[in-house]
Amino acid sequence: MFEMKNITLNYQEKCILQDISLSLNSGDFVAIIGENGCGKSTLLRCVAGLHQQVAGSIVFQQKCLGKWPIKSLAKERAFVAQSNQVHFAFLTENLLKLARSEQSETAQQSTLLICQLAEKLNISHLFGRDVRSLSGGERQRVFIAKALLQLLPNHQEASHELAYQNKLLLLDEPTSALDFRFQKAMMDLIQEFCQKGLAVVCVSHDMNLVLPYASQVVLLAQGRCLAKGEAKDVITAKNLSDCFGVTPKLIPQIGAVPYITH
Amino acid sequence: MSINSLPVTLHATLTQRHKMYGRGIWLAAGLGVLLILIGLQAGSFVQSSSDMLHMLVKKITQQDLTQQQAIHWYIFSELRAPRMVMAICVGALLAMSGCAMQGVVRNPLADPGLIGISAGAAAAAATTLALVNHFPELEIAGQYLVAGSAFIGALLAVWIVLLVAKTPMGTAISSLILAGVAVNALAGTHIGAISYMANDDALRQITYWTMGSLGGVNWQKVSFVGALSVPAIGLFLHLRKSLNMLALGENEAQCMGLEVAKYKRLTLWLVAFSVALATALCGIIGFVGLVVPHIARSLFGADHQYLMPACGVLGGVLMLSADIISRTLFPPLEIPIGIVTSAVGAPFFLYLLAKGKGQGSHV
Repeated sequence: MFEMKNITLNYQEKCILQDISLSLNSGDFVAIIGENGCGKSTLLRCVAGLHQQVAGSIVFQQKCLGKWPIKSLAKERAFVAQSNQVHFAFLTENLLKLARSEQSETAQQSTLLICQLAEKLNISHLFGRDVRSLSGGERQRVFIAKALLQLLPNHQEASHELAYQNKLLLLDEPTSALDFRFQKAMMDLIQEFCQKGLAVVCVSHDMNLVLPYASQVVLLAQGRCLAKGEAKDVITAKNLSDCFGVTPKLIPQIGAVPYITH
Repeated sequence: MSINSLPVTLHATLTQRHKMYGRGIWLAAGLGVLLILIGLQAGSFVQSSSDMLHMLVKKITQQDLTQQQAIHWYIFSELRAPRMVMAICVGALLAMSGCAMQGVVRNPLADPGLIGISAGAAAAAATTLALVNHFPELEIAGQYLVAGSAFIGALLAVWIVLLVAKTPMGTAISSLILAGVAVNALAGTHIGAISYMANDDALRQITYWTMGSLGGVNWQKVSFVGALSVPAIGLFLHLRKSLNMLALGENEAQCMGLEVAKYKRLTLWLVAFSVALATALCGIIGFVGLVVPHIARSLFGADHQYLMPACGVLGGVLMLSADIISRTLFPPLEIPIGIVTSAVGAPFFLYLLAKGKGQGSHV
């Protein structure tokens, strides 16, 4: 569904990303981890098609990413940035409605979809509030809801079992502002959407939270892919030591990814 | 609230809000009609409503007017009516330009003047006024030359600003604003130099032009501005969704399916064209582009779906009010309308800012 081959990105004569390849199928959850400034967010932006000057090939749904009409692409992939700025006093429901503005559906149908998703993300009590006045976590949930609404097909297909088949959601630190309760709830919800066919690429520093959900892990260091594959193969003391420059303790867990600690 | 009742409640809230804002815009338009009626009667010569109606009936039924009525009819139809229509067009263009400008640079303090439009127009107009004064043979086409050069000057200033701010990724907003500051300063220097060298007559004309005025408006000018205003207003309304998306940031807007570079360029040129048109024919009219979007935002919220048409209507209303004040405050003297808009707009803006500080910003 998504294939990125030998991506290299230079900026002001500095190599930001070098020879990165990534392949995703419907329902995959890819976690990108790595040290600060290693190019995780840049890689995510490349996947989103926000960087035009990349060398290599990116194919999404059998079509070169650069050749996608921007409006059609918006219905197939959504991006949630690390910090979400709103520059005017937009109300939560207005923001969510904006995500449905490209769909041909009645106001009632879009309202129904918005409410269903708002209930799932526990943000319906934020209707009527200025998005700028929301806390970081509330805002993060609103923007994830917006991204999911953007990808949701029209009203008839929305309730379909595989409504998110071949769609791609890109998340940059989606749980960084969430509290203990919502961190887990958010990851469970994303997993639920993956079961509906959604492919997710998630950048995160919270490895212990994200890795148990990941079907594939990409470990980045200084713009290069240090290791890639299933979490149990990537998360080794050597790989983490090479990446972060410190040797972590790995506490084995039966049938699960080891718990990483200092 | 249960999941079943939530969509019904939200839908009802959104529908109610839609109706309320719609009514608000119509109410403002009604106020505009009232101001037109007042404006047609008010001024150094006051016409009563019954006289106006009487003359109108006579004109429709093709009866002859008395000599006095013919003079009154001339004041009514050739002096006041065209400037009312011009006030509406110019007010709507300036206010919608301000709204679009604030949306595209994502800053409620932005004004179309920020990218040098008014300064470019003023510099070109000052040069032409000085030249017309120096070469009397140019005087026949004087006002057209001034308007034409102001229009070109405004667009030239914007072109320079956009050229400097152009990057491979599109127009950089920070460079746009800084280039605007530089072009404003350059134009200011040019006006200063021209004013220093100009004779008394030219200097007075330059000063008067930069204060803005609806004096000298005729149906020819109005039909020209009106014909160009309609597509411009239509385009401003078309930009509503893109401005909503841009409010979330350029990357976010692009991810939501907006061709950011194209729409930014389109918006900036539309603002440049609209303000250049208004400025070329009426001089510099300050504060409308800054204050009206603020008033509209405090009444109708930040959603451009309602904000943009509200700005258009309120811009017209503000200009009609300013025109009436300018003609009635010290009759038979007419205060330049730019002074009125600034004198009313600036304190009101300060009030809004102070109010916003107390209650949390409404912008």
